[in-house]
Amino acid sequence: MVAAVGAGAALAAPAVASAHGLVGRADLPIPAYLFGWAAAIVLVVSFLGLAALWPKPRFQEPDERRLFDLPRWVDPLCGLIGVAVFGVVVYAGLAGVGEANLNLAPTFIYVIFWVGFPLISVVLGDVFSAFSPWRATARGAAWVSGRLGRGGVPSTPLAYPERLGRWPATLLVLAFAWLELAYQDRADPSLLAWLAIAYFVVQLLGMSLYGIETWRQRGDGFGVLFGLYGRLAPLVRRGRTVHARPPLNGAPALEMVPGTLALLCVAIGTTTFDGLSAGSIWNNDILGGLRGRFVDLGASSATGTQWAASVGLAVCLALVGGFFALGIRGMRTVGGGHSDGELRARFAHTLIPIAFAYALAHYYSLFVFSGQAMGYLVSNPLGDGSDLFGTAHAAIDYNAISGASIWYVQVAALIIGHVAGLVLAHDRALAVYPKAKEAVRSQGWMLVVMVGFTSLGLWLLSAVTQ
Amino acid sequence: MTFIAHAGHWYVQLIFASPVFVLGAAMAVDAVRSRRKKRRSERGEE
Repeated sequence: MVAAVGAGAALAAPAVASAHGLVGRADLPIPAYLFGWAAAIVLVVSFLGLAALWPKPRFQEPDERRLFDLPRWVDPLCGLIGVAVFGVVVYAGLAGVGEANLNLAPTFIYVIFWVGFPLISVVLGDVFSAFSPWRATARGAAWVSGRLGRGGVPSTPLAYPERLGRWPATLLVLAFAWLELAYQDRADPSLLAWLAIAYFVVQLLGMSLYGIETWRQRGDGFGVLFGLYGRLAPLVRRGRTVHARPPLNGAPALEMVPGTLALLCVAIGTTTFDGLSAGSIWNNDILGGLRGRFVDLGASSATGTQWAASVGLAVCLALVGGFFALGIRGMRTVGGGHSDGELRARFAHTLIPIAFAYALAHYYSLFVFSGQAMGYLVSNPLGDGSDLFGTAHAAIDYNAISGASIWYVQVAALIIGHVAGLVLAHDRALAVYPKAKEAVRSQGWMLVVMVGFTSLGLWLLSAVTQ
Repeated sequence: MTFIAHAGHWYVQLIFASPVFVLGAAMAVDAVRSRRKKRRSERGEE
């Protein structure tokens, strides 16, 4: 356990923001693979239960109940907070020290922002859109422009090319994941600050060209991804009105435009690689050979590692996409004359809870441990010795939660996420196939996909300490 | 090549994937059977 905690101390630093599944597994009562088998049994039982007890689609129509209206000042206030925090993070990155664990920027971006918003979104819905600094800035500019009447922001933006779909968002999320998982200077605070500024500018350009809301739903990588997670939430906002709905109810209404399935595969595939790259198989059996190839081509060892990680990331993306495609191909054997493309589009939303489950299981320990660093970073954001709120000497408690507890949370997250995926898939199948028997048979293939992703997730998490 | 040469390090971990193999095989067998059944019924109708 001491070794695991020591690993935790090292891994909690965003400079090595990988291997987030750090735990001491030696104290588990049974071998880790038995958890995988147990998870598979839970999924099979869920599948049988759905087949017997869920005979009609329930989630294909929105089931929302009005709760309350938000005051008018909520949006401007949240936007101001978002812009202010963005400014502080960028300033810390540019003006603060270069050590990643002493500077606010890396921890905020990789832990609070990248991990925290998905967690909040699944509970409260798409809250990021309210805090989005680029959206708030664009809306503020549009408001000022409207007040001045000078037309600074085009009132009739360009029509968004529908063929692009969510591809801009997908590519931006992929670029961020590559930065986090492969790029050798990923925790350099000043680099992160400049990239944040670049992202901000790209978002403002997109919003000015195609309209604020259109670009937010298509080209804001983080906004789109967090919005997908928000579809699982029991709360949804329509205008200024907040509605309640059953959890998962928002997912089936996902508009399938180009790039959506790719974004979900990126979300799962990048987390997969993050886990793989922290395990012994990658580090002992794959990395050395791959890096050697790049070194032979003239790259330095560090650059070779970077490109080896890039290859690993690409392979993981292909594996995740390929596995889902195999499940879809299997579903076609059931009949009904559905094409691969049609089935992919109709069942892509079932990957949303899996993407979230992977993120939660994988980054939970990072959030618990590295998240505590915010205690001292808010008082000393630049790492220059300041103590703004008197918490600059706060420390990370690596005993806050035991390794075994983290493992159980990870297992629970993966199982619940995949059962949720099964529920969504079963419900959609009942709407797609005219006969309930065909729907159930088609979902046997989806069960294979879900069990596969569960086993993969548990193996990745268990392999970290092996 | 290193990956294959080191197969002894990782092949035992395929035990994690055994439920997938079992379920996948069951679904494949089911698909083949239903296809044969469909062909037989089509021949019978002819």
